[in-house]
Amino acid sequence: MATKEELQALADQEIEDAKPLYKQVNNERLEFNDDDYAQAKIDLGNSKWNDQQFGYIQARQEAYNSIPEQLDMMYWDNVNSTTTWKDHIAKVKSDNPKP
Amino acid sequence: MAGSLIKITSASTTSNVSTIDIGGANWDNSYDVYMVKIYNLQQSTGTDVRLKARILKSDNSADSTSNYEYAMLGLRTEAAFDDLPDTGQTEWSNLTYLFRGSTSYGANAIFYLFNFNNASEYNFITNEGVGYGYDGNELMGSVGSGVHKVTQVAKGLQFSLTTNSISNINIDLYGLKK
Repeated sequence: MATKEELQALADQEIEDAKPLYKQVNNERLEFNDDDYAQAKIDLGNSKWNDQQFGYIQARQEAYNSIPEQLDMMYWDNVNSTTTWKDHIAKVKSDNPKP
Repeated sequence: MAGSLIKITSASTTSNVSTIDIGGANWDNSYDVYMVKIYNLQQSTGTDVRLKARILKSDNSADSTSNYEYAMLGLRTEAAFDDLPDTGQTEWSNLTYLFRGSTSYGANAIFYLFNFNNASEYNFITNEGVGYGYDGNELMGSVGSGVHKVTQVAKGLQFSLTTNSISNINIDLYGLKK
């Protein structure tokens, strides 16, 4: 797992590689100034850090079946003595582990 | 006419930009409540990204301090809803979804802005957004609210995406006439 400093270095390089970047102010398209590029690097570094540390939460939310579907799984698991719901939850967690 | 929406200014682009401002030097501070309309928002590449916003300060620059909080809900046709809250952030995020699968699906949103001219209260927004195409086949809406916990005057919003550039957007700013 990368440190915050390592991710920031990656972000800095990505912004350098992506130059020139543009902003639109008063309907005029302008190239970023030094402050804009510095802010873009900070933003991208923070984004990479958040993705690494907390991205699994979002990924799990998107991978879980809907609540009605999960309730249906539980019902049929109870009727048939199967483990469909438990297996589904376990797979989502293992596919998207905590860092 | 009572209750009219008065158009203040517009912003749009069809060329890639990382940020786009609405308001700023064109801000009209004579309204209590504002509405921002975004339509046909598209991104430069087809990945899963979301719309973000920062407020524009009195000097027309974006406020990037860690004073943004939001509580958003993602509404989906193919899966359970996404609970999307956060505190202490440097921007409001998850305002709308833009989706992987294609760059051609447009997203759209309406924002209401409160207390932007009040230097002694926090800035608030509410939003409703809609987009289509998560993995190419899902309608995804978003609703929610945000607060910027600084008692200062604001003069508009600066929009950007979580990654990639904005390749197309149309933004209109309205004041709600008393």
